[in-house]
Amino acid sequence: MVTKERSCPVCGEGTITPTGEPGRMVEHHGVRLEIPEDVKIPECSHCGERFFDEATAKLVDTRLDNILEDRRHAVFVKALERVERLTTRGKLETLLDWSPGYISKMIARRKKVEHRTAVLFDLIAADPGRLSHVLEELEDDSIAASPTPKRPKLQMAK
Amino acid sequence: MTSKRAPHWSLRQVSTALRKGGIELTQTRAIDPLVRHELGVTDRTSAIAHAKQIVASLKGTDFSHTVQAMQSISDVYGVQISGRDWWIKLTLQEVEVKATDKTKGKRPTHKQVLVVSFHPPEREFKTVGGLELKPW
Repeated sequence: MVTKERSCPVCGEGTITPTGEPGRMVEHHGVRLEIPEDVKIPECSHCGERFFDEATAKLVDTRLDNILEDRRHAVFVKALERVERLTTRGKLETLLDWSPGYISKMIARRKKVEHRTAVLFDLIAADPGRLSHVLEELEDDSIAASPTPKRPKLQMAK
Repeated sequence: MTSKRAPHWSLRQVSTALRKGGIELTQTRAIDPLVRHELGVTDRTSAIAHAKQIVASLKGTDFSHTVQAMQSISDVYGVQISGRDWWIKLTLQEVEVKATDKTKGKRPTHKQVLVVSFHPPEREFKTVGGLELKPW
């Protein structure tokens, strides 16, 4: 659907035309992101008000979702590099109650890196000593509980 | 210029426009406040869906007054959502839709709902149903 060229109902001075420009910062799922310059949004030439119909909203949100996903993936991969100096992927997956290979799938982008996962790994990477401590404690618990060692669980949704 | 009787755009016209032409929201006066204040609204798509649902459920008693600014005439409604007061200002605008064989080369138009404002009240106001709405 194309809106006819019209005067701005907000200021009454300018004309509304599809515009692309840098520096359009918006909130997207709690994160401040910039709308890519090539995305055109109807904008008033005088007051700068922007207008979103369903198609424009979907277009903008899809692009911002992709940017957010790239950002989370980058944070996760960077943090994982540091965390893997302390333990193996298999141990991490067991600790987080994830299925084997789940981390590899996230790295390969076959699974999405959720917001909480990116945050968790960023926090762990910022304080690796804490992870070592948790791993030691879990190992002690497993030994104490043998001969049927319990699988350590951390309440963490995928 | 304001008046306080019936809305300029009847709710039947608004409902038809919603169905045929859809809805459009301003960013600073509608989408941003919804994303900032309304739980569960975290992007533009959900803001529009939320506004559409609220506009579709407006009743005659929610109407407050009509405002004429420049060339556009808008109706102001007041509603409470989850116990909080909201100011909604809407108007109808013409939009072009894709031509089909039936339209014989002419560019058909439909009315579309434009939500100029959807935000917490900036001053006290009253609906014709007697509801008094206040800034948070």
